[in-house]
Amino acid sequence: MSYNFLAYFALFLPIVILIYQVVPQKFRFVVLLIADYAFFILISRFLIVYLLFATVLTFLFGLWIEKISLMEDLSSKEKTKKKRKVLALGIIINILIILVLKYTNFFGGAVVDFIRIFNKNVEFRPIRFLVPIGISFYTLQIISYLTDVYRGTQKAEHKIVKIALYLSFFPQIMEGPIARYHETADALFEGKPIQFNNLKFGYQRIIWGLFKKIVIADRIFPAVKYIYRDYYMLDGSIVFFGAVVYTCQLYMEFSGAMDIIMGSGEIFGINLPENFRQPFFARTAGDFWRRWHITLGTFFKDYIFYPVSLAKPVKKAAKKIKEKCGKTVGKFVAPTVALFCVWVCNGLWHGANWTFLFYGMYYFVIIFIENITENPIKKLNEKLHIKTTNWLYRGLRTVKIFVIIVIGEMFYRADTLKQGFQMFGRIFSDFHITQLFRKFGTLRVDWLDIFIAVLGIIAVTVIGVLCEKNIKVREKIDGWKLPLRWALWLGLIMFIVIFGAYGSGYAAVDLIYAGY
Amino acid sequence: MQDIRKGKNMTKKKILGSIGFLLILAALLLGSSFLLKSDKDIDNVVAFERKQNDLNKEKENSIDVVFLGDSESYSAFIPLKMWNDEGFTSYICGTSLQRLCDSYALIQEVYSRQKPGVVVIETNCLFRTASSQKEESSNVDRLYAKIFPILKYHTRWKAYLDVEGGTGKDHDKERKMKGFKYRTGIEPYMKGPWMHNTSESEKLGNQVEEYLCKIKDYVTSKGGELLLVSVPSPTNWSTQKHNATSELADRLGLDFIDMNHDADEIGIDWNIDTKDGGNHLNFEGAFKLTEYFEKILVSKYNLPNHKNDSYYSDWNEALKNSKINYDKNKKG
Repeated sequence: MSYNFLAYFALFLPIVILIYQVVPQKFRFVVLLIADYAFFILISRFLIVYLLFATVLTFLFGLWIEKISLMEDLSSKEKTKKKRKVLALGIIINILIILVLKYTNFFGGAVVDFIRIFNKNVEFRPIRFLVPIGISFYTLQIISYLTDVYRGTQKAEHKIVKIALYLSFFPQIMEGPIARYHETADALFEGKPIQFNNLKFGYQRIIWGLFKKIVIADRIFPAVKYIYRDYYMLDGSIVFFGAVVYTCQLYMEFSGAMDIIMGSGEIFGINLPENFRQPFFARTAGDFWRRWHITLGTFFKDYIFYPVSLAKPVKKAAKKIKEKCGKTVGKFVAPTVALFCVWVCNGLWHGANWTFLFYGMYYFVIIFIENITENPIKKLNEKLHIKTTNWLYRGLRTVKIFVIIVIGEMFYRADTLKQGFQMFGRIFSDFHITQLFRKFGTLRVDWLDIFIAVLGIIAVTVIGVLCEKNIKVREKIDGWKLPLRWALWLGLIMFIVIFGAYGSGYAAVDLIYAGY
Repeated sequence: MQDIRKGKNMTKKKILGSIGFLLILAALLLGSSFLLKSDKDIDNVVAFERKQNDLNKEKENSIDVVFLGDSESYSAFIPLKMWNDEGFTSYICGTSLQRLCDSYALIQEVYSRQKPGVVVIETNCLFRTASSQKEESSNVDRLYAKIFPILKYHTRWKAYLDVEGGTGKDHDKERKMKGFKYRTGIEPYMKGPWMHNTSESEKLGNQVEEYLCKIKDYVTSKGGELLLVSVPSPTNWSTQKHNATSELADRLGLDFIDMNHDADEIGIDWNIDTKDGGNHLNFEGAFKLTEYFEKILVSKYNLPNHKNDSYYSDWNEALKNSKINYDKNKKG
């Protein structure tokens, strides 16, 4: 089962909607919970025990932290100390589970490689763990809930069913977004009836998501697969093209899946937080990460960046460096240390591979450079009277950011760090643009595929421009006359049915982020 | 009271509107199904129709031998070499990841305009599902595809727009080489012998025997003979697959030649004759294999030599235009 399968949006979802709507309001949360667990079991089967264990643990730890807060015989300092220990324990247990399941082989291999540097003969046999779907996402939600309870910004939940709903909501479980407890828990439990407009707009968003995933992302996948497999035989121009196409595939697929997920949530009146905000309109790498996988970025900001930058040891170190090297250098210490921690976590969260860690460090370095050069560049622009709003400046900035993104995604997709560097090297050492045009017919996509993909990308770009101007596209379309509205939506559905890259002649393409 | 009535009317309007929308959608799906559906059970509709277009460019009753199968078939057998050396004509109807349902549909296309005396199936395709049912497709997918065949045949739009039967220079070259895919890359296979002694058998793909029977009966009814052949492929083949195929061939009364045992005799050098580490032969490997196999075909089936027949002059043209020297012991 996957969000882009007929079995999801043309069977599972309608059945859940129907049962949810006819059942009395006080039992609707039961319907939702059954649907959540049924969805989970369909994909991960008996591994649901991990989710159930995590649910019970989260519930109990939340209550434990609350209990400590209510202890009258303890001072405020003692309470904070005790609560911090419980919070740490709760987080460590969850992190340990995910470390064992997903990172044992990575760290085991790394240790063995390190020992071998000293000419010691050691072996490490990888262990095959069965990993439940969505563990990387619901673990972050657990951490955010427990931390908010600890901070006092969230009351501990006394109904375990609300925790269960929050962690297992079926549209969200596979790929996020990473929601905060207060954003979804009450609405999930409340069981308000499905409104017609929610149903309509929800399915419209699902259709849009299917368009991005099935028509664009899956159509260009064969070219990506081929170029990444045979990069060592291909010209640098083709390798760069492959990186560009992969970036496009990743965005269309991930944002398309988000549209399906958000649309599904919208049907039930659940406002899941947005995960994308036209990321290719970003002005800097930092801005890009405030538009791409937004909920992951805000999680790291709230639960790693701020705590680390405000931590006593970091503040102490910053003060010492400020005294030695001056204010200009000193002010960067705390945010840089915090930024480093964020990007190590971001890299590793994506997977157990050096390429992901490199990806994290790549953005750390770029954002660090952006931070330290922000003011000097601003002063230089003022001195040289450069208008940063003029089209040339904005165009060059867009190109710069696009290249940064593409290079990053090239390493992200590479199977190994070595492959990433080899591909990067080929772009510069063996680049002949004519080769790209000559060999175009051999890239496992034909001109018809490219035509359809380009049409799709243009449509997505147009919608992106409208969204960037805060125009609510679905509401605007809803204001059109009925025949025109219906023609548009029926046309879009038929376009997906006919031009989608599924079925005969196409291999199924797994959702990339569903593996996290 | 009026507000309640108004509310009920609005709800009624919305429900009727939704039903209307879904009915129009169903009508569009059914209508497009009618336009694009095929009466044949085909897995890869685009590949099938491209091959169909390519075949229609050959003169009627001009093909002596047809090859079916997946990429192993179009990487290993060189029709223009067989023409050059022995004077018989052949055509590669192999397509990527071909299933036997497509082989069956293609052979029927072949016999609509040709009368090949020999039909060769490369046996790698016997170890994937024979029908067009995708393993990953659920019962829901199949049910919807049964109601709205457009979900299965939607890719036929490509074939309709694909006037030349294929896009890009690569396909054009493939067509001119009678379906053979010319590839010169080298990636050595270095893992040593792959046909180890065992009495175990690999499981055949679903419905393989059923479809192979259909193909055999059809070819026989058209006066042809069916031959199963396995080309040397260390990464794809094994003794287990050999055993399964032998047993199947015995049950169906078919001849089976496994060239994995003959790789040394053929002269395959796994350092230079494979394009992808032992998965497929490159042109050098295919040259040697074709030189070995064409003799078997000639002696076994008494194939005619059309070299002096003016009806086949286009084959001499194709040979000349390929600019490749196919003479025995001369490569390049």
